[in-house]
Amino acid sequence: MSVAFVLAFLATLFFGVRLIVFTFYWADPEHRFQTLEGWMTPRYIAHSYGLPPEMVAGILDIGQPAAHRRTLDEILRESGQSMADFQRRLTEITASGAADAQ
Amino acid sequence: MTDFLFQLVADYGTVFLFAVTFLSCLAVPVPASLLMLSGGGFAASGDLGLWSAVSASYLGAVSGDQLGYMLGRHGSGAFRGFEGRHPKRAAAFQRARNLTLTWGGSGVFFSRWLLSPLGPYVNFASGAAGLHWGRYLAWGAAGEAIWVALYIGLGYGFASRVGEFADLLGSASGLLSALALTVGLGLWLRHALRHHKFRKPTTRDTKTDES
Repeated sequence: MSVAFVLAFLATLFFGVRLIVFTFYWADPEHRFQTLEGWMTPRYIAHSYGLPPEMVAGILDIGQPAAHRRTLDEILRESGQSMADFQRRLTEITASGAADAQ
Repeated sequence: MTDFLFQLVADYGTVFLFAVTFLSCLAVPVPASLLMLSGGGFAASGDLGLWSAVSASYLGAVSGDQLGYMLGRHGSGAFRGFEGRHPKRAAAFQRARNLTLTWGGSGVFFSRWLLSPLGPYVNFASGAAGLHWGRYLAWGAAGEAIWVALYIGLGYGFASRVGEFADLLGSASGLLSALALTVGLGLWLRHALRHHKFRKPTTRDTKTDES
């Protein structure tokens, strides 16, 4: 029983520290935009970045966003495009979109 | 690992959501809450239907609860033979059973969503303690509705911040559950210590009684 108590107490500390660390991490404005991840779908990326889905599909050169949910990993593997390239082009378009809006 | 599971949500959609909420009710360590967040995110972007994601997660959770309860109920026979041979163990089990019967309804309700990491164990305990099935079902179904609506709703509303919510909500829910366990075990320990003192009087009997 005492061992269980100590373990539960340590778990409380662990999650407490984890919560504080993540709170500071996400409070930093630099981390406001989600970085791209392989599990994201083109439509999901469009939604996250506030872009029309056709534009993201255009950068990835996949035509219309497919009805089937293909993820970024699958698409990039097929096209041979690198994640860094895609991220750079997406950032350029987002930045130019923000400049146009001003 | 989470990325791989998010990928499976994209690949298999609602079927996968059903499977993870079902398994999470049986103490299989899958981050069902976080996967519902991503399911909500995919629903917001149009990759999943919102209502099919909600109903698949909800059906998975409620049916997983039922199986957990049944396992507790029918598996407890063997356990009873084991604890019955030992009076102290029988007393401890009786106390756990009384606790579940007194707090059962609200315990089931809050362990569905606020303290969700404790959920599967409450399922086994409810079945083993013989908590009334109708009462268990009603509180469980209400709690699961909040759990599913909360996480899919947050994922849907804040789709562009799923990563942030996954980190923060995961920590907060772990913290609350661990804290509840610590306080519960602490109270139990204090009770056991006092009990122990009364049962084993020393020569300084009066002093120990005061403490």
